[in-house]
Amino acid sequence: MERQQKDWWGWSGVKLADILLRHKVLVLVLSLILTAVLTAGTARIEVSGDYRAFFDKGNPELLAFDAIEDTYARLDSFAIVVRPKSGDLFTRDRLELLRDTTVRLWDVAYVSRVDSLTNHQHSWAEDDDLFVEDLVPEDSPLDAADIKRIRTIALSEPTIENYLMSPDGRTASLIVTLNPPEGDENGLQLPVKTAREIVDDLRAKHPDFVIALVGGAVLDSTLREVSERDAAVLFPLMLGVLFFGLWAFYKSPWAAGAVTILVVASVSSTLGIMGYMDIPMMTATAALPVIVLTIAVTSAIHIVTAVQAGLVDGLSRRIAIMETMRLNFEPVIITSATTVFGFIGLVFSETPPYRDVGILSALGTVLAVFYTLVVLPSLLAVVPLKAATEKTWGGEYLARTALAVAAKPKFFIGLYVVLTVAACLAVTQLKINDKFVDYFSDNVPFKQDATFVSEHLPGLYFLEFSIASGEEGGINEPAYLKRLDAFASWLKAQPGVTHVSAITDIMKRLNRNMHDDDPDHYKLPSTRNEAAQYLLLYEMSLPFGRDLNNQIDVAKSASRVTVVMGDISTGAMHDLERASEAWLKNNTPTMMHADGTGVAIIFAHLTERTLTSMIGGTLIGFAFMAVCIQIALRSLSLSFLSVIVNISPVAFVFAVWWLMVGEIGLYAAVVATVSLGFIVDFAIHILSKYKRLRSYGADLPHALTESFLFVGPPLLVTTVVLVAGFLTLVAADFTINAYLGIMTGLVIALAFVTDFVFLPALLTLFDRERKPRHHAVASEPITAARANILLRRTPAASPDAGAAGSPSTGGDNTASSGSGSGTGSGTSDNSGHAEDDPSSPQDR
Amino acid sequence: MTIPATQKTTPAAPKTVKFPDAPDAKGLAIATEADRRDQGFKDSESQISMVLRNAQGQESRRGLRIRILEVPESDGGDKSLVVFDAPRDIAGTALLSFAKGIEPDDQWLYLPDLGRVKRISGSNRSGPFMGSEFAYEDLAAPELIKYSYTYVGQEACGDLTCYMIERRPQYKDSGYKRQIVWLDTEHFRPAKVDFYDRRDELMKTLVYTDYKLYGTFWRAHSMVMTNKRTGKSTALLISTYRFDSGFKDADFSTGTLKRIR
Repeated sequence: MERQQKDWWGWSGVKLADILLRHKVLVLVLSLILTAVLTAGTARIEVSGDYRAFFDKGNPELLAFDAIEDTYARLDSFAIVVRPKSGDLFTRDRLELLRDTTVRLWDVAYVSRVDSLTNHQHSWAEDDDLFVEDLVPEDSPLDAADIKRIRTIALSEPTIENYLMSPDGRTASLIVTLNPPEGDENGLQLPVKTAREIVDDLRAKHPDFVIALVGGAVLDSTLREVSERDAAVLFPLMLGVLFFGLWAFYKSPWAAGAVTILVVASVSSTLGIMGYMDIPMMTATAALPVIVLTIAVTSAIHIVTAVQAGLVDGLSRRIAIMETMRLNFEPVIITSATTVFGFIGLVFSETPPYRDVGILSALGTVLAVFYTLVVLPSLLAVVPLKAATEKTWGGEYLARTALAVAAKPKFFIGLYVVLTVAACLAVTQLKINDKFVDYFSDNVPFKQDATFVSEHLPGLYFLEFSIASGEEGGINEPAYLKRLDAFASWLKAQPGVTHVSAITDIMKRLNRNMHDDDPDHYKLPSTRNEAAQYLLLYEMSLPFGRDLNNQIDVAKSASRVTVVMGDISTGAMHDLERASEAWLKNNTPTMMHADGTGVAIIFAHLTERTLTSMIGGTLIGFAFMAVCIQIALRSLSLSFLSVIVNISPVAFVFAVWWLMVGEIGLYAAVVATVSLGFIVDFAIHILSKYKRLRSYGADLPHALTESFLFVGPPLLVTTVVLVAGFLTLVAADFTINAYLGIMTGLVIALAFVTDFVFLPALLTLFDRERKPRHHAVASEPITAARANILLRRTPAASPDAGAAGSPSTGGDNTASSGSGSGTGSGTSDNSGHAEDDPSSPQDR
Repeated sequence: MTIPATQKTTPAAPKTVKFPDAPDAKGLAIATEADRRDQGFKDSESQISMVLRNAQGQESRRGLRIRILEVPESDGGDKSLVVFDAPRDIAGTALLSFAKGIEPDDQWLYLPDLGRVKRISGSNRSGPFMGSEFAYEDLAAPELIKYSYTYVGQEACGDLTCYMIERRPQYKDSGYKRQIVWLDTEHFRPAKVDFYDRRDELMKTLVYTDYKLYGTFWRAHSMVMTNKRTGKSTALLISTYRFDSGFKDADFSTGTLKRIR
C-alpha cells in the first residue's frame, strides 16, 4: 500500500495511457477539433506598433507625457532629414527643394504643423511695421543677395540651430507634427505611407542628397512591420531547425514529426487564445510563440525519447508508451508547474504586454502539458515508429563526467562558487540602455536613417517640460521668463544636449524687433505688459500651422521647454532628467518645478522599474518553484540544490553579456523569467530520477550514473535543439528578439553544463548522509541492473554504456551491464517486477 | 466676380426668393441674399467674452470689444476695431483692420506699453486669433467676394430648414480648402459652418446660437468653434450689441487707436 501511494504519479500515468490508448482515434479527433477551435482565434489577432501599449493607464511618466500632449499639442511626428552629398544648403536649387518639400508636406494626412528652415517665421522691424514672414517665402527671389540674407539669419537664429538645420548649414530637418483622430490605432499608418512616398520620390529625383525619414510615427510603423516580418520568418525557421534536428536525433521523421505537430498545436492554440482575449501582437508579445515552442519541446522530447528507447529495448509499442507515461508523468507535470510559476515574474511586471506574455505563456504551458500527456501518446500509437539503433546519445559521456566531478567535489564546488560570485558581481555592473533605435537590426531602413540623423542633426530623443507660472498669463512675468531663460541656458550647457527650445528665444527676438531691431535689445522684455503685448502682436502675425499653441498653454500660464538630446544612452537621458528636475527645485519657486518626460525617458523609467519588479517577481516564482520541487522530491536539500543550480546559469549569462555588450535593456526581463522556468526542468528531470534510484537504495555514484544515462540523451537533444532554435532568432530584424534568442540559448547551454558538471559535485557534498528510505529494498545490494529495472532502461544494450560507469564504480556496474544485456530483458524484468509494483502495467 | 446690381439696390426683402437651378449660381444667389439682408446696419459695437477650453477642460477667458463700420464693398469693405480688455496685461491693446476683399486686410496693432502703433503684415490671416480656435480669417469681415459658392443641398437645422452652401476661399494663404455653411431658409442666418483644411479633412465646426433681432438685423450671441482633432474649443459670447452709434471714418484710424481705451 505504501508503495502504491508513493508511486501515485506512475500509477496515474499508466492509467491515463491505458485509457488514451484504448480510445486513441477518438482522442486524436477530439484534440484536432479543440486545436482547430482555439487556433481559429488567431484570425482575431491585431498587430500594434503603439508604444503606449507598454504602459499601464496610470503610469506616472505616461501621465506627465499625456499632460504635455493635452496642454500643448500631440507629439506624434516624423522628420525628413536632407543633406547634400557635397556643399551646403544655400543654393537656389536646394532652398527651392526645401521650400517645395515643406509645402508638399501639408498633403500628409492629419498634419497639424510643418516646421522647416524655409517656413521658419522670421520677424523684423521696418519703421513702425512688424514683418513676420517665412524665411524663404514663395516669392523669394533667391538671388545671391537673398541667399546671403537667408544664410545669415539661418545661421544666427537659436530656434533653428541644431533643430531645423545643423550649424554647418549642410543638414536640414523638415518636421511634421501629426494629429490623428483619437482612438484610431492605425492613425499613423496613412501619414507614414505618404511620408515614405515623398521620401522615395525625393531620393529618385535628387541623387545628390542623402535623405532620411525618422520620428515617432515612423518608429510606430516600423515596430509593426518588423514584428510582422519576424513572426512570419523566424517562427517557421525555428520550427524547421527543430524538425530536422529531431529527425537527425531520432533517425525517424515520424518521431520528429510527432514532436513538431505537438509544438505547432501548442503554439497555435495559445495564439488563438491570445486572439480571443483581444491581446494585440506587438514587439513584446512577438516572443510568445518562441516561448511556448520551447516549453512544448522540452516536454515532448522526454516522452518521445523514452518511447523510442523502450522500442529499442524490445518493448511493444503499447508497453513502451505506458512505461514512458509511468516514468514521465510526474516530471512532466512538476516541470510544467515550475515553468508556470516561472512566469509569475512576468505577471508581476510593470509592463502590460509582458504581463500578457506571462499569462499566455502560463496558459501555453498548460496546453503543452495537455498535448504532451494526452495527445502525444495517442499520436505515437498511430504513427509509424521503429526502434532507433542509437539511443544513448552522449549519455555515457555525461555519466562519466558526473563521476569524474563527483570524485573531486570540493574543487568543482569551489570553482562553482567563485564563478557564481564573480557573475553576480558582473551583473551589478550592467548599465541599462534601451534606446529604441537599437531595437532594430542594421537591415531595417529606419535604423539606417536614424543612425544617419544621429551623426548629422540629432533629433531623435526629446526631453519635455511643462513649466508652470502659477497664474493665468504668468508666462509674461519677467521673473518667470528670467528663470526660464536660466533653465534653458543651463540645459544648453549639459552634455548630450544639442538644442533647447523655450519661449525666451522668441521673447528676446520680439523685444529686439520692437526696438527697431537694435541688437542691444536682444533680451527679455522688462515688464509683463510688454511681454504680453509683444506676444499678442506676434501671434496675430503667424500663419496656419505655425502658431505657438505647441509651446504655450491656452491660459498663458505655462510654457513648454523641449530639450533635444544627441546619441546618448537612456541611462544618461535619465540622469539628465533627474539633474534638470533637481536644478528646477534648487533655482525656481515651487510652481515652476516640473517632471521631465518624453518617449525615450518614459521607456528608461519603464525598463528600470520592469527590471526591478522582475527581480521581486522572479524571487516569488522561485519560492513557488521550490515548493513544487519539494512536493516532487520530498527532500529539502535536493529542492534547495535545484533552485541554487538554476539561478547560477542566469547570472553566468548576464555576466557574459556584461563582458560582451556591457549594456542591458527591457528584453533582459524576459530572458531571466522565461529561461528560469525550463532550466529548472533540467534539474528536476535529473533529480527525480536520481531520487527514485536513491530511494530504492542505490548509492550516489550509481544513482548519478544511471540517472544521467537515462535523462542525459533527452536533455542533451533538448539542449541542442533549443539552442539551435533560439540562435535562429539572431536573424531577427527586431534586435530584442535576437538578443532574447542569444541570451536564452546561452542560458540553456550553461544550465546544461551546470546540471551535468556542478550538480554532481553539489550532490556529492550535500547528499552524502542520505539514508535510504525503503529498508527492504536497500538491504539488497543495488546493482545497475536493478536500477535499470526500476527505471525501465537497459544501458548495457550498447557496449559503451557499460563502460561509462566502470572507471570509478568498479565491478558492480560492470557485472550489471553484462546481466542487463539482451533486448528481451526489459520485458521479462518488467513482468517479474510487477509483483512488487502495482503501478506497473501488465503486459496484455 | 461682381455683385448683381439689382440686389445691391433692393432695400426690402421679398417674401419669397427665387433662385437659379445651377448649383454655382444658386450658391452665389443665396450668399448674396444673406449678404444683402445684413446690409445697412451702418455700424455696430459689441462686448465679447472669449472662452478657450482645451481637451482637459482647462479654461481661459479673454475680454474684447469690437466696433464695426459698414463700408460698401465697392469702397473697400468694412473697417473694424478690436479693443482688448482682458487679461489685464494686454488691456488697451487695439487692433484696427481695413477689409480689402481678396487682398490681405490692412492691420495695425496699438501696444499701449510701448506707446506705439505697429503695422502687421497681413498675409498671415490663417493663424489662430489670440491662441483661440478662431483664425483671424474666421473673424474678418465676410465680404462676398472672398469666396466662390456652390449650392450643395438643403436639410433640417433645429426647427428650421437650412441651405447648405459650399464656399471656397478665393484669397491667398487661407488655411482652408473649403467651408460648408448652413443658412436657414427663413432669415438666411448662418447656423453652422464646417471648416475643411487644405487636405480637405474636416478640421473645425462653428455653431451659431442664441440669435436676437435688432431692428432688421439678426445677431447670434454665442459662436462656438470646436476643433475636431484636438478637442479644443473656443466660445465667443456676446453680451451686448449696439447699432448705429454714429461712428465715422475718423474713429477708425491709427491716430484714434491710442485714445481708444
